[in-house]
Formats: sequence, C-alpha cells, structure tokens
Amino acid sequence: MNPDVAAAVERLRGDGVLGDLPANVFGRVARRELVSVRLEIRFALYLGVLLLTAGIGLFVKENHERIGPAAIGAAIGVVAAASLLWAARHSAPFTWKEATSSHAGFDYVLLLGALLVATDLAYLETQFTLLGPGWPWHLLVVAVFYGLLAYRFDSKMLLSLALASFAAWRGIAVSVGRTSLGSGDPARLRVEALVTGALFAVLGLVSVRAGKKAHFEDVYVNAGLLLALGALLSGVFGKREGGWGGWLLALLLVSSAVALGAYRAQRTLPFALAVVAAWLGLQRLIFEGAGAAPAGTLLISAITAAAALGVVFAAHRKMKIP
Amino acid sequence: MKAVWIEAERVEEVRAATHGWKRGGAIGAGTFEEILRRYPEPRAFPALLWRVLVFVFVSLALLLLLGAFALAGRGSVGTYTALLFLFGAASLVATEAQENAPRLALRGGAGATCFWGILFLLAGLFLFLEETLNVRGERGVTILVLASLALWALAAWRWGSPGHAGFAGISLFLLLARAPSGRLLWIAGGVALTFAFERALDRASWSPSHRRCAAVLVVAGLLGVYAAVNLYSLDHRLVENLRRAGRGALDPPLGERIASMVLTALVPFAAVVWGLRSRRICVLDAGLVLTALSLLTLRFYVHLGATWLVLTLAGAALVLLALALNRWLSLGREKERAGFTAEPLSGEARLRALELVPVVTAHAPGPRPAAEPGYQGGGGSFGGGGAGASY
Repeated sequence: MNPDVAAAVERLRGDGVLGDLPANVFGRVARRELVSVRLEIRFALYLGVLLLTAGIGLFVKENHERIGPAAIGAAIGVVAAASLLWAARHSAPFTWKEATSSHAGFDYVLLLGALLVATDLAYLETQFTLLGPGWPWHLLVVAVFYGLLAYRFDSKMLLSLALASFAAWRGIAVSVGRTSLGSGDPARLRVEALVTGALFAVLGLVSVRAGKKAHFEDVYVNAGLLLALGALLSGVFGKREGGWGGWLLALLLVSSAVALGAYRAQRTLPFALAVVAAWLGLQRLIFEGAGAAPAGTLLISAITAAAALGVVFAAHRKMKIP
Repeated sequence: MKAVWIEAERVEEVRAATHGWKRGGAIGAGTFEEILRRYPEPRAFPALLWRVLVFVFVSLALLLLLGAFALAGRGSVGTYTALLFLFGAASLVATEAQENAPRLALRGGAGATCFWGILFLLAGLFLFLEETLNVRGERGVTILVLASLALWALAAWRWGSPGHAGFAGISLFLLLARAPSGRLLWIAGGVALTFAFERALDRASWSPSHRRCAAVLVVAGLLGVYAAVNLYSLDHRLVENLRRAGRGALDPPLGERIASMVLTALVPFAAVVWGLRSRRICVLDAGLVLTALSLLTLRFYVHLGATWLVLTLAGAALVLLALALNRWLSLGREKERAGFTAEPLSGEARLRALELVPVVTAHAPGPRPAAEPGYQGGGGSFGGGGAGASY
C-alpha cells in the first residue's frame, strides 16, 4: 500500500482534478487492491525462452548423429513456425509508425520463433555446409531475417539482434571495451567497427528523415555509437601498435561532437556514452606520462573524474530533461 | 531522517505515480500538469542514467583521490588506517551535506559517498583491529560484522536507502552465523525480521523510503529463513561454513534432513501463498525465486531426466504457464481477477528499453573468427540462435 498516493488521490478527487473513474482505479492500485503481475509474466516468458533455446541446443548437440539432420532441422522449423504464426496472429497490422502489441507475451514468443529459425539455419549450415568457406554469410542472412521481422512486428528487441548479427558478420561485437571488438587483426576490426557504426548511425537518421519507423532511431544510433566509440577506445588502448595519440585525438573529437549533438537533441544515453568514452581515453594520456610520480597521476585522474562530474551536472541542468 | 526530507519524499511519491498514470495513458496532459502544479518538485530528481553517471564519477573521484593520498603518504599501516577513517568520515559528512541540499540530494552522489564512506570506515576498522589492537581471527571478524550492521542500519535509518537496508540485513545474518547455533538463529532472526518489518510496509507514519527499506528487510528475512532450511544448504553446511565450522562436521541426522526436505518445499509455497493473499509483489516475487531454487535443489538430488529434456520441458512449461496466466487474467471482469491484472498499470516503455540489454547480451551471435590462411570452411559454428555451441 502507498498511503501517500492513496491520500493524494482522494484529495485530487475531492478537488475535482481527477474524475471518479480514474480516481477509483488509482486509489485501488495505491491501496494494493489491484496489482499488476505483468513484469512477472514477462520475466517468466523470457526465462522460458532462455531455457527452451538452451534445452533445444543441448538436445541437438547430443542427438544429432542419432536422429539425423533432416529430422532435427524439420522439428526445430515446426516449433519456430508455430511461434511465428502465434506472433503474427497477435500482432497489430503493419505500419511505418509505432505499433507495439499490447499482449504481454508477444515480444518473447516472437523472440523464440526468431531465435529458433536462426538456430535452424545455423544447424543446417553446419550439417550440409551449403555456403562452404563463405559460412559467415549465414550471419548476414540471420541479420536480414531479424531485421525483416523487426520491421514487420515493430520489435526493437529484434532490431537490436539484427544489428548485433550484422556486426558479427563483419567480425565485430557491439560493446564498449578495448578487447571486445573480436578476434583477428585489430586495425582491420577497428575500421570495420567504425564503418559499421557510421552505417548504423546513418540508418537511424534516415529512419527519422523518411518517417519510416522513426522510433527505431535510438536503437540504430546507440548501437552505432557503441561500435564507433569502442573502436576508437580500442585504438587508444592498443598495446602492440603505436599512434595511440592519433586515436585519442579522434576519440576526443568524436566524443565532443556526439556530446554536443546529444546535448542539443536532449538525448541522455549518447551524451553519457560520449562523456565516459572521452574520460576513459584521457586516462591513457595521464597514465602514459606517469613516470615516477604515481600519486600525482592518480590525483590528476581524480581531478578529471571531478571535471567529468562537473560536465554532467552542467549539461543536465541546461538540458532541462529529467 | 529529517521531517523536511520526509515531506519531500511524500510529494515525490505522488509525482512519480502521476508520471506513471501519464505514461499508461490514464490521464491527459491537462490533468498531468495540474497535479504537478499542485505537487511541485521539492528536489531535483534526474532520470536513472544521470544518477548512475554521477554515482560512477563520484566513486571514481573518491577512489582515485584515496589512492593518490595513500601513494603519497607511503607511511605505516597506521597512516593508511588514519587515511581510511578520514576519508570515511569525510564521505559521510559529504553525504549529509548533499542530502541537505535539494539540488544534490537525489543525484546519485549522496549514494556514492555514503556507500564508499561506510566501506572506508570498515576497512579502517579492519586495519585498526588487526594491526593496532592485535584483535585478529574470529573475534576481529565478529566486531567487524557488528560494525557493518550498525553502520548500514544507521545509514538506512538516516538517509533511507533500500540498498543500505539490504546490506544491514546481510550483516545481520553474517553476525547470526557466527553463533554456535547459527542455523537456528537464521530461522528465528529471519522470521522475526520478516514479521517485524511487514507491519511497517503500509504504515503512513513511516517515510516512503523507510517503507522501501522495510520491504527489503522482509525479503531478506524470507531469504534468510530459506537459506537455513534448504536441504542443499544443510548438507553442505553453508551457514556453518561462514564461521569455518562446517568442515569436518558430522552429517546432519536423518530427522533434521527430513525436516529440511519438507521445509525446502513448504517455505517457498508459503511465501507464494502469502504474496498472493496479501497482494504484496515483493513477497510474491521472493516466493517465486525460492520456488525456482527449490526446483534446482530437487534437480540436484533427483535425476529427473536428461539435462536437455529438463531444460526444454521447464522452458516450455514456463512459457505456456505465463501465456495461460496472462490469458486467464485478461478474460476476467475488467481484465482482473482477485485483485490481479496482467495490464501495465503505469506504462512499460521504459521496461521494454531495459529488456534490450539482457536479450542482446544473451542471444546476439559472437563475431565470426578471423579468416586463417588456407582455411577451407567446413560450416562454421552454431551461433545464430545465440546458443553458442558447436556441433
């Protein structure tokens, strides 16, 4: 029970601010006479999907020789099709605008269907080596498939997976961290990450300009920023190659531009990513010049953290957003 | 907690509820603005991401500054002890100062200085006991845990953070575990904690943050009781191991094990029933988590089938159960049954945004490996579905 809200609802009803109908509902919620278990249902669905996909993966791994690839591929395909059919039946009609399904289970049944199709594709590819040495192309196929589903069913969850799969096809992972770009030649991966990040950001801007699924823009831009800033940080902290100064300069320029753009557009997450990335990059400069005075280095590092804090405070006050 | 803070919290509760009503589409812009006008914002309350940013940078600044002073001092253990006490005390003073400033109270900085302040004081106390007073071993640990309980409880009482209440709860159970009959004390302490604070959950005289602290302690009590009665915990002497008394202990007697088996099943069931009857979501959620833990305990002792079968059936059962529950609730009068509904009561856009992170983390395929010279293909690996296993 929330006695403060319950009392306020009665006061607002008495003053005529709230009508009887909403006041009754809000009052019941505040007095705990009406409780939503939507979060619990969604969590159970997510956990169920996790367990199901893990169980099916394990089953395939342990039994594929005994049962045979065709039967396994068909069985997974049937479950995937059933899930996608259910999702299609419970989805809103296609529109270029936002059209999220109100069904609590929609997102996760759709996710289950999409994951099973991807699993099936990967399994069949491993069994029949249809693409041969070009097997990584199946990641692109999966990315396109996720993307199509994301647009049809208006799912940011599947769009995020589509972008991650696309990045995986290019050999990179969507995360910030100097060792997270993937294995292989770091210089090539950085370029891949920068190009892919820029592509995602452009797609986000195009979505808004064209008015086609404009609400997907934040997914595109945030994924693009993670890739681009991750690539630049990877350059700054690269161990084997020199030239980290150039990478740091690029990082500071990009971070500043992103922070300024985010500030103007009143966007919190890109601003936060830019500030954190710039602060992390600066640490290389500070620690590189540490020499024989580690205490002074830590002090300067602490001062930069305090300065970043000042930037955060000032930006939040001026951005006038919660 | 100061009266002015409590008044501010009460207004913030109403404002938070109003934002939820607006997000859920239950009120229009006019009503929304009118309610906010009647309940003006008493303190600046930034969104979660801003608070996390401030918490992180305040933490970094504090830790780096402490490191700088420690390196510059290059002194004895006594110097480090004094430094830790000094930083701890200064951090707590800073917390009080921030809480007193409406512009700073809810920005995340107060949480950071309080958290690190208490940790610095505990670290200082540890060094003081070990090196200055020579109070080592079990006695020293007991004093440290007692101090931890006192500090976190005082912080929760003064500043009303549920996190601090949680740390106080953990400290209480660690303290109880130090007694020879720690397991029994966990049961008694857990029951006492749960029922003592359950009464405070709806008390209007308590501040909203203190009621949240009470909710955390109710759940902590339930978890403590369950940890004491769980069969796996009994067999592996998990509670006794906290004071290093589990090693070499005799196997528990049969009667104790039977009682534990019954309670491993009964405690989660009782918590779920209590949660459903009282419609307390925190109790219901705790009961569901305990139910999952009991099923895992059952799986540990009884071979129910191949792992893939158990996972698949459990996953399918969960999905079907959740869908059936959703449908059952949605078909009820006004889309509710017995006071429960599957409808979002305060909008769920933010929830959907937060869901993206675990989903992408768990299911995104790993990056393809770098091509090697002479590589002949061979189908690659299974990653599209996110399971990440190779055949």
